[in-house]
Amino acid sequence: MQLRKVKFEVLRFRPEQDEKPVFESYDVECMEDWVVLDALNAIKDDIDPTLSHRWSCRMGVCGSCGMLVNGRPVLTCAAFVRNYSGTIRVEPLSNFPIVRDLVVELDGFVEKIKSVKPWIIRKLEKDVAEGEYRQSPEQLEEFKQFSMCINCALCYAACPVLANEPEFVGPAAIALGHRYNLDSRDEGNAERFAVLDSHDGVYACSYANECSQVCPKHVDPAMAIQQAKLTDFLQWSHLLPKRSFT
Amino acid sequence: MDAIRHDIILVGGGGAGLRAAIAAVEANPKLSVACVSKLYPMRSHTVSAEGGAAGAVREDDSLDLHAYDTLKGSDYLADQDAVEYFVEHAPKELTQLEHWGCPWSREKDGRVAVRFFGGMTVKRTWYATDKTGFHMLHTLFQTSMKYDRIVRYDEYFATKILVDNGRAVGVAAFDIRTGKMHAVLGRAVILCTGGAGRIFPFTTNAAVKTGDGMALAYRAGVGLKDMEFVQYHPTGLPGTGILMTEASRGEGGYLKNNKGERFLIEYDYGVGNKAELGPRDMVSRAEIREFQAGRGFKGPYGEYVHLELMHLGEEKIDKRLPFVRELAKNYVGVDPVWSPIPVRPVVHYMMGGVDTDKHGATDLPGLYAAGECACVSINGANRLGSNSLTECLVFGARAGQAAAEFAAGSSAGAENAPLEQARSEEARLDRLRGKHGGEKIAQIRRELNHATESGCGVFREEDSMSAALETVTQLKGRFADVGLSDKSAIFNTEVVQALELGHMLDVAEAVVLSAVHRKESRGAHTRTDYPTRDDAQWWKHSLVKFAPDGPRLSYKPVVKTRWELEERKY
Amino acid sequence: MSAHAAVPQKTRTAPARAPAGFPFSFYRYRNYVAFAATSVFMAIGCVGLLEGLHALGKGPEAWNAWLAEMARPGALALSLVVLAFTLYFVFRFGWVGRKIGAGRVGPVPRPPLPLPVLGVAPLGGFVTLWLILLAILGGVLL
Repeated sequence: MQLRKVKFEVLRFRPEQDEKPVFESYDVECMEDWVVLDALNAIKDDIDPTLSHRWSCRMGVCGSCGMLVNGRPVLTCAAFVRNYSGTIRVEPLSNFPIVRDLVVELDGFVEKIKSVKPWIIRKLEKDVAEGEYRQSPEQLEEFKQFSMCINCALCYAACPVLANEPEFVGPAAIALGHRYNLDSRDEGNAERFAVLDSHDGVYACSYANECSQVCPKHVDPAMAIQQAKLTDFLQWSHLLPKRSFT
Repeated sequence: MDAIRHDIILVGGGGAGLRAAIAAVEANPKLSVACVSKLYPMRSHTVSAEGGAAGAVREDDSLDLHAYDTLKGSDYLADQDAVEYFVEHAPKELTQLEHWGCPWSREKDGRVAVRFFGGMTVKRTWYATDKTGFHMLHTLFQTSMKYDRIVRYDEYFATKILVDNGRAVGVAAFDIRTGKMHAVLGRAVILCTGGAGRIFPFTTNAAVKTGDGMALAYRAGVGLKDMEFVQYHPTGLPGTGILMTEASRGEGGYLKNNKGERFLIEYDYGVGNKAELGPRDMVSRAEIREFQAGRGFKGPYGEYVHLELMHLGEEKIDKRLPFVRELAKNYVGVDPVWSPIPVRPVVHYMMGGVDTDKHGATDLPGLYAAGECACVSINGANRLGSNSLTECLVFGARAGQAAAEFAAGSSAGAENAPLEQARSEEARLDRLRGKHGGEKIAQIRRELNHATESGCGVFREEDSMSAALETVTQLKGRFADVGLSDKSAIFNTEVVQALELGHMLDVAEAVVLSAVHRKESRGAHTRTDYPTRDDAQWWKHSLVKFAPDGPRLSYKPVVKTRWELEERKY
Repeated sequence: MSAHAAVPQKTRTAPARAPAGFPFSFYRYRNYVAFAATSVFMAIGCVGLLEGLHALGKGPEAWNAWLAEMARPGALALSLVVLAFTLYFVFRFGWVGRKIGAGRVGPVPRPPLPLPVLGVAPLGGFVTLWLILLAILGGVLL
């Protein structure tokens, strides 16, 4: 395994001492197969233990380690050092307030996820003893890709609408609401559209498509939003029935 | 310090924790649950589980068959009453999750699909492609948002179980964001903090799996049971340890040595196409034996064998194992459609954990545990693949209900004693920040990892285990002199790492201590110096309890109901 | 619910930063800004059309005066810019439409209309109108 010395510029913000965020440089001996997260951990372990960043599964599924690397939102556990040349710049996700160093404020994001009521809503719950709801593979396929979101918030960091309107519900949450609307087991779309077609809902999106470009799990939130717009329009114009009991 | 008051205090928000929270609020509409987790719940390690969750539902299956497979897989160390409870509730819990929206993969007729898994005699593993844990966790997390009585304390790190009058009444936990310590008080406490794979250097486990709940319970005087049984998963990527799900063998993948042979046929864990469907402990041992016989491939991260999926074809791989393909492509640059994946045994799961009965109750009144951090035990000496996700649901729910019953029947109690304990935790935290000392966290962790790996590998023997035990004991001493450079209160992850390292040292000591004393080979605990199972002497659970001058090891009988002990042969 | 929402215990944060390259130095953000800017030019176009309609209502004299006004090089150039932005809007909207598919809510049967058409139709009408107007102006000029 070859070692390579790489210079990292990491945005630091220590709220107890720094007036505003500043870049700090670290030279890190990187192995050939390292990802950017490995380098951050090497900094934390052996160079500067005061660096704070979130990470956990290091296999691209927990969604903790999203950051900007050379300006692009990526999961640092899936961003290989060997794919970058020269200095590598690591910053916290854009469009989120910075709590400290590479850690951003996510509570608002989680509240947005909650706002679309991401759970099955039914008039009558089936008893567990009666077994599962039947759902064909085709019905599953309708919503499957929108259920693949890992809540890493890269799409929020990339969204230009959110840069202008921080209250926008945002790609991940809308895609999740859409996922439940499309689920054959669900009957709650009217309740969800109360949020989805609100002022900060789907119509705030003007289709920059950046969310879908940066999604590490190949979810297409931009598609979900446009589909939700059309569904909403058709329901409003009574071309499509509302599927709800309320 | 003011107390934060709820009825049930839950530590950990993974599969078991969220299931417990929902079960508790559904069991009693008056109760509120505080979910204290050191990370946002959807980040929990349940998210990484891939292959599936077992529950007997099909016509060719039965509860008894599932129980029998589980017991045999456990090398008969599982408690039979717990296993019976488990298999009975497994299908109900999986169906419940289906009702909550989990996107299980389906048959053409709309039923939930099932697949083969190692050590399971029939297809009984429910799956959502190969991201089952991810879908289960997100379904649970999203469903939990429906209940306003589940109050999440995201990114709060619990440092101590608060005890009053011999009863667990809450935890001391600090908000990582502000650095402020809080006393989170209730009438029952549930631990669902997962395993401790991070005590080992080469593991499928996420960074957060540092055995926090096990260490908290241990320090509160509760025993850690069967800690010597550490599961090595036979198919992890060399270097990173990233898991290639057992479902890749369940779907028909082959393991091959450097001669191109399906070497598992030799070891005879099954017949014909089932050769690869042996339980994990046995397959891992077979791999090591191949290495020892010079039939492994050599790589920069040690030897490996090949996991071949090419014969399954691109369509089946994309449909059933898309995540395996994605991970193999990203992390080892191999597309399993065209080339074999390099794999080797990797630490995956702790069969042991906080000693509980089948209701999740520990012997400290008011304290419950479920999931990987608990040892009920249904896993005994070796867990079967796809039983753990189901275990999270079944015993998570049971612990939630049991804690709700306990909470409803007990008073809130006085606040003085627990507040006093929390204040002393606050002082401990203050002393730890920026603490002067000659030792480094990362260095102690590395040495700990080295010791556990050399002492408690796939094959074990007296000398290396004794040496490892000695090293761990020394490291505990050196840890007292650890120095920290981060003095800040806000999002100080160094102080979190220090606390986690303390937990890991406690857990590692229990693992090595139990291992060195168990003088037999059973399930995942395989000794070269005692190569056979010895039911006469060792058909019992190990139990490690905390004492100020060092851990105390004792034993506890295994519960037997209907099944006789047999030789474990597949 | 989150305890953070119920009992905010915030610490001092640094303000959110805009995405790197926003709004002009990254091409996809440029496209997005241009897309947003189309609304301004389409509004100008609409005002022009309304004026024309108003002139037509007033009588042939006013109509001819408006046509003459529109035939001046400056107005013509503006019209071309409006057309360019409108076409860009339609193109991009069509690109979005590609992804939409049919509107749907779970397994409810899909409506019979090819729906993207429904969305694109008014815009198509707008562009057609503008092309007709340009043709008239072209005729006047020639």
